[in-house]
Order: sequence, then C-alpha cells, then structure tokens
Amino acid sequence: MKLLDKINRLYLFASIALFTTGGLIFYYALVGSIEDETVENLYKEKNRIVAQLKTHTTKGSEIFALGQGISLTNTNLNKTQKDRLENILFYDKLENESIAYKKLIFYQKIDHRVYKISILKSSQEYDDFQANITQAILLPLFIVLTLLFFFNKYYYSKNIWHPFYDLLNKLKKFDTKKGNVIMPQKTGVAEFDEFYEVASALTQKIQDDYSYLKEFTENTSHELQTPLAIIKSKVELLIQDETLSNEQIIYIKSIYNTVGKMAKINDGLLLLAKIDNIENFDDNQRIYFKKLIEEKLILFEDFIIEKKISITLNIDPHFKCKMSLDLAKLLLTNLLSNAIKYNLPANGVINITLENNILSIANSGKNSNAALNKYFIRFKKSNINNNSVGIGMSIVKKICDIQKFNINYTFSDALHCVSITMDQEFVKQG
Amino acid sequence: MKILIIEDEKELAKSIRDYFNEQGLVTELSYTYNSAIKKVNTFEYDCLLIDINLPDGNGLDVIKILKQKNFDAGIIIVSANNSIEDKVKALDMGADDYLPKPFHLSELNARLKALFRRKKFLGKNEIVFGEVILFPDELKVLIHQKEVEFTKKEFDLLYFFISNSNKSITKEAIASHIWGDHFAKVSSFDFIYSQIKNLRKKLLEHTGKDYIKTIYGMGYKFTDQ
Repeated sequence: MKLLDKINRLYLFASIALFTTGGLIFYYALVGSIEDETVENLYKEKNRIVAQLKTHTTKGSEIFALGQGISLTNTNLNKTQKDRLENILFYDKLENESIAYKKLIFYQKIDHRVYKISILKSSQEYDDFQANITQAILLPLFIVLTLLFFFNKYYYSKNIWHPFYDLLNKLKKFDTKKGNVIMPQKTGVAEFDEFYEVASALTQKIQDDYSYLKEFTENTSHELQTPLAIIKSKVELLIQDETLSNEQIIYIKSIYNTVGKMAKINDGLLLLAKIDNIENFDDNQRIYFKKLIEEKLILFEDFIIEKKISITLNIDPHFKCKMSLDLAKLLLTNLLSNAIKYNLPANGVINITLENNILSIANSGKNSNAALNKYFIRFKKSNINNNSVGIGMSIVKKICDIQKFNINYTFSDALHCVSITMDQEFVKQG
Repeated sequence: MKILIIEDEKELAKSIRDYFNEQGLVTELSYTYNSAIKKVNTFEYDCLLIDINLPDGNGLDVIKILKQKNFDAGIIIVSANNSIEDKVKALDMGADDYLPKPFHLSELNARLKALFRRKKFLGKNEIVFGEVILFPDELKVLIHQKEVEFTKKEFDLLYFFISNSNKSITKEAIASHIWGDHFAKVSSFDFIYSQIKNLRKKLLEHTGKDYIKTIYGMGYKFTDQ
C-alpha cells in the first residue's frame, strides 16, 4: 500500500470516527440546550403567571385566560408543594409521530387557597431548528472533509510528494556502469532535501567504491599477468637450449605447466570479478541461441572429433533471448567446454536441447556421487581432469544469477545434465 | 630490421630482445615513455613493440607521435588490460596488431613476421622455407613448385611453424595460436597430436623430409637441421 493511501485511509477512518462522535456530541448538546431553553421558557411563563395572579387575584375569569396549555386547578392542600417537571409524549395521529412536551407543575397560594398550575410546552418548535442546524453545519463539514480527502490523494501525490517519487525513480535507475550519481536538490521540503542529500552521498560512495574496485581489478590483472608473462617467456627461451637433458626438460615442463595453470586461474578469477560489469546491452538486442550454439560447436569441432563425441541437437530455431551477447557467448562456451572436458575419454555423447525456454546440455562422463546442490562447488574440487581449474561452472552460475535464470543439475541414465530455465521476463518467443 | 621494444618490465623486455636477436633482428629497449619518445624522435624503426601501461606515460601516445612524423613503422601493442575497448582504441590510432599479456614469444614472433610481410619490408608476399613456399593471403602452399592441399588448420599450423622455424615451440603456444581461447577452456592436447601427425605426414610425403621434431614432453621444433 502506498504511504499516501495509508495516510489517506487513516485520515478517512479518523474523520469518520471524529465526525460520528463530534456529530453525536453536537446533537446531544443541541438537544440539551433546546431542553434547557424550553425549561427556561416554562419558568419565565411561570413567573409571568405568578405575577399576573398576584395583581389579579380575584379575577378568576382572567386566570382562565392565561393562555394555551396552561391549566389551573383548585386543590385541597394547605400549603404549596415543590415545582415539578414532567416529560410527556403525545401521539399526533395526523402527523403520525410522537411529539415531546414538557410540563411544569407548580403550586401557588391565592387567597389562602392553593392552586395547582401546570404549563405545557412543546419542544417541537425547536426540532426543525435542530434539523436545520445539523444540515447547515454537519453536512457542509462532511462535504469539505470528503473533498479534502480527494485533494490529498491527488494534489499531494502529484505535487508535495513529487520530489519523493522523483528521487525513488532516480534511485531505481542508478547504475554504477552509467555513473548516474544522484545530485542534491532543493525541493522546498526539509525532509526531502535531507533525503536527497543522503541519497547523493550514498550513490557517490557506491560509485567511488565501484570505480576503485574496477581499477583494482585492472591493476591486479596487470600486476599478476606481467610476472606470469615473464616466467613463461624465460621458459620459452630456456627450451631453445639444445643441450638440455630430458630430465631437465621435465622440470621445465612442470614449471611451465604450473605457470600456465596460474595464468588460467588468474584469468578465471578476473573474469568472475568482471562479469558483473560486462557492458550494458542494448534493450532491443535478442540472441538467437540456435545460431550461437552452432557457432560455438564449430569452434569446438576439433575437440569433439578428437574425443569422438556424438552430438545430438534439438533446438527451437525461433528461440531468442534478451541478454548481452558477451554473456550469452560466455555462458555457452563454458557449458560446452565443460561438457567436452568432463566427457568420457572416447565415444561420449552430448545432447543439447532447447525447448520451451529450457536449455539443457547433457553429457556422458564419469559417474557422480556428488550431492546435486554441491555440483557447482564439486567442479572446483573435481579431480577428473587435473588440467582444469574448474572455474567454468562458477562462471555459468554467476551468469545465470545475473540474468535471473534458474539453473539445475541432474545426473541420470549416466548423463550429467545442466538445465537452464530462461526467465520468462527475458524471453520472447516467435 | 630494426625493432624498438617499449616495455617497462625489464625482464619481459629482455626475453623479447633475446628471442628476436637469435633470429638476427636488431632490437633496442626502452623501459620508460620518455626514453621511448627520445628514441623515436632520433631514430627510425621498422617496427615498434609498445606496452600501453608505462610508468611515466601512455604507450598509445607514442603512436600519435609516429603518425605525426608520418613514419610507416609497424606497431604491435601489448597490454595487460585485455579489454575490447583497449584493443579497438589501439587499432583505431594506427596500431597494426594487439596482443594481450601474457603471450607466448613464439606468438609474438609470428605476429611480427606477419606484420613484416603485410608491410612488405622483405619485398615479397610469400614465405619460403626450403622447398616449401607459403602464400598466406591465398592460403596456398607450393612444394617443389607444385600446389599441395592443406586444411585451414594444417595451413595455420605450418605457417606458425615456419614463422618460428628453428625454434622450440611449446604445445600451449601452438594450441592457443590455432584454437585461441577455446583451447584454454578444454585444456587437452590430444587434438594437437592428430593435427601435427597429419601435417607431418603430408610434408613427409611431398618433401621426403621430417621437419617437425618433437621436444620431449614440451612441444615441437620446425627445423631442417
């Protein structure tokens, strides 16, 4: 859920709660004050009647003309009693509703006689007033709040939150290879300015580290390749000597092979380190695997013939995949060389299948007891072929990780099989 | 033939010098950018071997100076940064070849010979070894003035051998020359044996001589001695 939606939702719930309680409080306060008003009016009426009675004590006729809803009855009481308020509901048949009345009963002594006087007053007249007030205040308030809600939702997200989404977008697009470091920016909002500053410092740091690492990789390559080249060149000069004995040549060969192995390890490790930085590929670039596999097989032809390996191809010719050409080549080179290198000494098989986005390369070879999940490590330790530095499968694994391809290894029917599921996102059929 | 080797790694520079000297080529060494510039400004060379990363400058700048002076010297760039960009940049600037480190001296030698041939320093386009004449541009081989069919690989192998005639060549150097990076991936020498066996058979058949000598466990030597 978006932060803004979350805020809006909270805001909505809070508004409803506040609106309901506020409305209720407002309503009861209003009802209360109307009642107070009615009661107050009843007492005013009482005072008026009392005053009237005092001045016109004997004029009974006038007493009876005190007004509507006022009744005066003679009692046999000796003294007056306390005033009493009563709530009365009358049912109005015409209007089909109950009407609330308030009745004030009080006693007044006139000429030694105690009269009971009751005043009846409806609070009905205030009801309309009450409804009007509710409509006049609560309804506009509700409308304003609703409008504010939508205003928040659209205006805020477009304007106030704009720098935030902008920055988020920039962060998503940040790529060390492009070097698009985020620059601090004045957005007019302190939090966002700070956010920009932090993001700027962070991306700058990442970019610097990346550059440093890249430089380091290049330097390492230079530092190691040169001494290796020197040793190799000295061996090449040494073997020009015609007087060397066979024993001496064996020692020299051993040195030479070891240096060669070191050079290969160095190459492999540098490649592993560099693989992430293989230049960004064109988004429209599509790799036709059939063509690429055939090209690679031609390059490996001599090795395949030498080992008398029979190749079976079952490749969807339309299959193309969105990835860097360099990575695709590297992937196939390592997979195929692996299948050749670890094959039987002679008359082995390699089955290459590419169907439904799954590329699988199966090869005959020495039986494997290794746990399946150790496969990619196993080759590092494998003693099948001592000349191997076994870094090939690590490279394959790494490429699959970069491309988010799923890679799987199985061993069945005496075949080692590596299957790669090309991620759907990267695949276009047809 | 006068060659200037610009390489800051003294031992590597000396190895290259020794390998070339044995073949009667005149070589001079420069370990720094500045000394290379002085030499280039004073003398003329037929070929320059330039390392890109020098302690006091960029080897590629030497190319600029040569081009300004209109010297038509052959230029081979050697570099430890085995990157496509570097290679493209070097070739764009006018280098004739690019060789990533580490390389085999025999490979460098073959490249140098090919460069000489392309630049026509020796005044001819073919390569002669006794009765064997190679025409690299046409992939043609004449033995005793008669054309002999060779496969592409056999031809490459023969060309490489003749470029390094009378030199001991390691199996690795042969394999990486003919099969490139793919050899390194498969690292098996079995396939070399059969290629050499075929070449040896054909040469023996047409010349009556076995020019390919085996150096026990190490490699081969193409020689008429």
